Amino acid sequence: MAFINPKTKEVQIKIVYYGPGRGGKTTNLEYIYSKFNHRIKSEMVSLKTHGDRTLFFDFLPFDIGKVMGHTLKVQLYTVPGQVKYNATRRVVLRGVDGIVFVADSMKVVREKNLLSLKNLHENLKDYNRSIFRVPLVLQYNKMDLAEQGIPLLSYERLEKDLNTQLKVPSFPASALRGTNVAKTLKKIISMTLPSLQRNLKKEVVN
Amino acid sequence: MEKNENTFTEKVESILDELFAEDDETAETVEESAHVGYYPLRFLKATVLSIDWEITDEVMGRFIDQVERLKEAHQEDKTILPLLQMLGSTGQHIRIFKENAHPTALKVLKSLYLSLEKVMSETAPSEVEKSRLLFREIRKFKALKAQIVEGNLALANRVKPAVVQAASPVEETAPVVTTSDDGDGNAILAAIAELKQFVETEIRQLREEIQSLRTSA
Ligand SMILES: Nc1nc2c(ncn2[C@@H]2O[C@H](COP(=O)(O)OP(=O)(O)OP(=O)(O)O)[C@@H](O)[C@H]2O)c(=O)[nH]1
Ligand SMILES: [Mg+2]
Repeated sequence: MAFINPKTKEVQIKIVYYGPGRGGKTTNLEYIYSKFNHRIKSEMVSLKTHGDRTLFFDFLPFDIGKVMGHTLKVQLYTVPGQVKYNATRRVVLRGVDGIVFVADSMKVVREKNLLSLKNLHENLKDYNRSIFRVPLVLQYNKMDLAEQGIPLLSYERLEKDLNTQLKVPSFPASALRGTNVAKTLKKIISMTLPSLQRNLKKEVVN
Repeated sequence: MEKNENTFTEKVESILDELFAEDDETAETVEESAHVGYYPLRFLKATVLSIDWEITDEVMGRFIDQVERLKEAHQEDKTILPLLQMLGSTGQHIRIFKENAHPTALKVLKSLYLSLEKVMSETAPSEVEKSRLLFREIRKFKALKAQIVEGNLALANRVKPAVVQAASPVEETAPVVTTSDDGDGNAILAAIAELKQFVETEIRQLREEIQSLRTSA
């Protein structure tokens, strides 16, 4: 799926952070940007409402270097999680190579995780893509809230709710603190590599 | 060829490891940092955190119940009680108007909650600091109240019946733009329609706010 430009020898990998509103998608990108910007040297683009909700999407592109004669570029996107912005989510999903589903671990929003995952499933179907085949990682976010005694869904509960059928890699995380944020990102990029490599090979053969 | 494949993945992964290398501090695992202690505000905090633009009766009902319960427990406290009272009525406003609640209302609610958290924390501030905090919150709360009243008046002058207008969730009743995906064009148009809708709502709210500021000046 990755976009290969034979002229410039550039390859683009598109990663989308998906999940319920206020789950922490933007916070993931903000952490990556603030923590690693001295190395990835990039700009982050965000369009937010006055309530700090993502309106259109967030965008963070960066280069990872030259491999097999091609410059590898990664683009991170977040979608707006609010239910009403589905058309925007669909546009952002177009041509996606890998998805991070950011679930909110708070007990009170359990239902929202399920609805959002279902929405992802449906939106992918409209592009004739299957949620069971797209590289996908689950991130169970806001685990740090346990310290304050806030009722959270356990890791096991979240696995049962969201990962019973998918069986994809999953990480408990705190986007606010950065716990497992980089791990999540590295994992999802790695998962897009096999298909990228196949396409690159075709490119080399042609 | 096999060898080539491995080196490709390995190479990219080692670049990634370098790019996103972290110091030990952030590599700490969640389990290690997690410890659950008694915390009187934990339910309220969880509810405050879950109040967002998808505000439901359920969440707001729970919020108000929790505020009431805390009020019972702090009848005597000269700082906590008024903070809770303001939290309660701001919560009521949000509960009634949901997405169309005054845009400042959510901010005031969060600010009130944070002050409450400070006042009730183990390292509570001095009495002087407490009353300063309370005073600041009262001022914000009063400003919000005035804005709401004036906003309603301005609205009533332009469109009646005012209540219907204010309570009709602009963004919710917006036509749901569905797209069968027959190309980029439609999907992008639909996304732009969402954006446009949002901007229009935003501008209308701004106009109302300006109007109310004018009438109060
Ligand atoms: N405690 C805690 N708060 C978090 C964490 N991640 C995000 N938040 C907070 O949750 C709120 C929402 O985070 P965002 O990153 O804006 O959520 P989002 O998924 O981008 O939301 P939308 O753009 O509306 O879809 C913010 O107040 C964040 O500070 C986390 O790991 N722990
Ligand atoms: Mg966001």
